[in-house]
Amino acid sequence: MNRDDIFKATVEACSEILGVSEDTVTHDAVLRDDLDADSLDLAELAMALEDRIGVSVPEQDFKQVATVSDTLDLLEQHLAAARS
Amino acid sequence: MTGASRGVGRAVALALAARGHLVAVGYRSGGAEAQETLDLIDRVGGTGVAVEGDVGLGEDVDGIFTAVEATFGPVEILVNNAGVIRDGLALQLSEADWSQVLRTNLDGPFLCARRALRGMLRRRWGRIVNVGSVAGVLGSAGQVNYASAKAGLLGMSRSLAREVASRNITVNTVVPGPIRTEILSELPTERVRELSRMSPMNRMGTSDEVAEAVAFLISDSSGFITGATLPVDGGMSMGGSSATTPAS
Repeated sequence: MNRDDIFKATVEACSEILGVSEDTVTHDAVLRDDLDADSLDLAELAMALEDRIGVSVPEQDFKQVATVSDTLDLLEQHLAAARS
Repeated sequence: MTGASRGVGRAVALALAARGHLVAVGYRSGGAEAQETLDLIDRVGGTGVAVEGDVGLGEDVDGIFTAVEATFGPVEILVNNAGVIRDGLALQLSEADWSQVLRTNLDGPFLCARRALRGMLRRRWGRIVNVGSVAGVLGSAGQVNYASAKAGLLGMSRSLAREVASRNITVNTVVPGPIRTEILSELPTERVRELSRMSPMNRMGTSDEVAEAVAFLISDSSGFITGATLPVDGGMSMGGSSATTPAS
């Protein structure tokens, strides 16, 4: 799974959980502000992404995430760690 | 439904089965009793399955839910009833008896709720009912561990209720007073009599009376009720922790 695949999965998960249209889920979008996500949304998003991408990410790490791009970085990092 | 092999848990399992819910009968040690509960469910025309596990252990809880999901699909309703008592005056209470009661009666409901919420959040619907005890509201000499766990359960229910209310998931607590079940048979007779006298109705409740309250809290009629505490105690606590006067 490459960064594009992760982005695609993130767009779908954001759209489904946050109820936003897919075109608003850009790399720069701030989850809390631009996509109007609350804490519970972020927890749900984390669970959904773990399921879709098949990687386990500690909750603490997800708490550091602000933008969609941050999310991709984090998931990529954990995917790489899982592979090594 | 945890702790469903006997007593209040069994009555709740039957009440829910009779209303058409598929019921997973959780139990830790009473395999034969869980089977009896299943037979009774069958008799009321319901469908159930028995699932063994210790609710105080995270890995068991995951196993319980995975088994239930494999049989019945997603868990939409959770009733946390599993509980133990290890009574003793605080001065003499061992650390092991303190911990075990907290683990089963407080860790258990939390671990089960946390596991159940994953699915409920996805479906934007869920019902969690915790079975507390009047001991958690009024305190109970000789039951500092049990009363602490049950008081903690109220705080847990209210906090969870706030966290997930926006997702159409309700979390409530039924708070029974003394109920005629096996757990009471472990108390001295004198204490049982004293407990009856503390209720203005001057009697103990029945498992069915608790079951009906639980059934209400998971029904569609209670959709706007969350974070609530519903006493089923014959007026023993009257919603507060003020001193109660035994019925004369």
